[in-house]
Amino acid sequence: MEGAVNGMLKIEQMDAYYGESRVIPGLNLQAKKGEITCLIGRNGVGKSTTLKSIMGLVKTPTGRILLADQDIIHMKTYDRVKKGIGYVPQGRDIFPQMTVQENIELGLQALGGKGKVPEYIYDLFPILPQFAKRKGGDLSGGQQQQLAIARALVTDPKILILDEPTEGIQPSIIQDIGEAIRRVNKELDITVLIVEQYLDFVLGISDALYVMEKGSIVLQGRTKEMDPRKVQKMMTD
Amino acid sequence: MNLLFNGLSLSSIILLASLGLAITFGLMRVINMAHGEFMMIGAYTSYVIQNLLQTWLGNSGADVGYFLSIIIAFAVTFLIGSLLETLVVSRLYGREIDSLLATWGISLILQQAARTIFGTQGVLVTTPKVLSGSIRIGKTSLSMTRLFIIALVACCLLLVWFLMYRTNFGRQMRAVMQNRSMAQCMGINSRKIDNLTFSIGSGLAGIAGCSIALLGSIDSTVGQNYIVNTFMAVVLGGVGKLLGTVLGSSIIGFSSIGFETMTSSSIAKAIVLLIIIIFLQKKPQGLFTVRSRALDE
Repeated sequence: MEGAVNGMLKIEQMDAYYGESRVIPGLNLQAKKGEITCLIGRNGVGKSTTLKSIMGLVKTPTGRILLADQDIIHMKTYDRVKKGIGYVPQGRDIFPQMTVQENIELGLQALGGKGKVPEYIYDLFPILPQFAKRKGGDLSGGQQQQLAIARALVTDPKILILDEPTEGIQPSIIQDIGEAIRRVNKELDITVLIVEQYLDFVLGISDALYVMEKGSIVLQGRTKEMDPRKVQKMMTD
Repeated sequence: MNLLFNGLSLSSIILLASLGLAITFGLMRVINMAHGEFMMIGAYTSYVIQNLLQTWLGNSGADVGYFLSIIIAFAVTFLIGSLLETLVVSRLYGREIDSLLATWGISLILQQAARTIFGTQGVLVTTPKVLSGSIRIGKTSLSMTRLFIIALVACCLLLVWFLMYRTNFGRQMRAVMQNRSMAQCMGINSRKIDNLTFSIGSGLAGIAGCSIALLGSIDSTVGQNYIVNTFMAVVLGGVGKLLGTVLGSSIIGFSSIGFETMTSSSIAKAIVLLIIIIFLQKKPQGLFTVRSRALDE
């Protein structure tokens, strides 16, 4: 096992439960500092549950979740955010009745409600200032995704975790989203962990890859060393 | 003119009673059956404070006591609301029937406590001198008490609007009520927000209690007279929308007065209830609904 110093986020022997059902047994996963790590798998294998577990939205009685060497597994969700995890959920979960500006500024709560929205947010997503006064629920899927990423970045995260960022987005916009994630990773030096089902997107963007089946990791490695056909087969079988 | 003023007056009373419920039920989805009892506590607070100051300062104390009691009633019901949320309601979020039963039980306890402390006979709050009498405009006589309640409602409405839409706390409150998990994922301590939100809703019920104390005698069931109208106003307006509650209260207030002139008070109530039932069957989400674009657009 590699030293924790390389792991921005490290999950060790984590069990996750929905009620009394153990849906993830003894998961081990690592997102290395400065890299983009992807977790892929078919529907219902536990990918989103893994991200929810990291955020503290699912019961995880055993194991460890290390964020920069600190175990956060028993922390409240809002404290995990303050420790440096930015979360973009599946379906975006924009606050529909709030304006774009209000949605973005909510991210400042993680910083104690103080400070300003950094300029690079609008540089990454220039469309957002144009729609500042529009209700979040009135934006298109692609615009909502940009807003969701911007909102998470305002919390000043060390690691950004995204749950199916391409879901329901037009192909042309997916490219923009991918480019924005790359810039976040390279220019802002933010580690990224993505859950996805869209294999081409994953192969194009990630440094490391994990394949999940029935709550367990069945394949892992450097993306460029993996055989795409083998991964594809695991996704469709 | 007279009809219009009576409608406005009744609407404002329903709105004042509904404002707190618009927060606890409308935003938090907690069916708080003890809301009427928070109004009762507010009304009794007016009575107690007025009597205390009257004892110390004489008759002038009664006037000062009433106005001072509005602030104290808010503080008292805010604290009791905070305690109720911490001990009972917070354990029942997402369990609407359980919270309904639990708060109904609390309402019975509070009613019994009021009977034990103040007795079964109703008590009266003395109307401050400045609110006695009426203003005459043309052939219409406008009661000062009713005008004061309308002004009090306007102030409360403005404050609630400012709190919800112009403050950092209001933004956090709306975020938690729209999507609790996601709000937590933005670094918001939802437990703290839940408690403060419920407490503010309870505090507003306390202020409503002070206003109804001016309209008649206070007893342990005084809040019960308003609870049905307040729930109807919030549901009719569209749960979670402040403007909806204003419109819901106005529709109930004006239509009740309108039908009363044509029939009797009880028939008017039945007609209004029937209209609301038919309306909600056609539009279950009320006058205002929340729109959001779905995935795959």
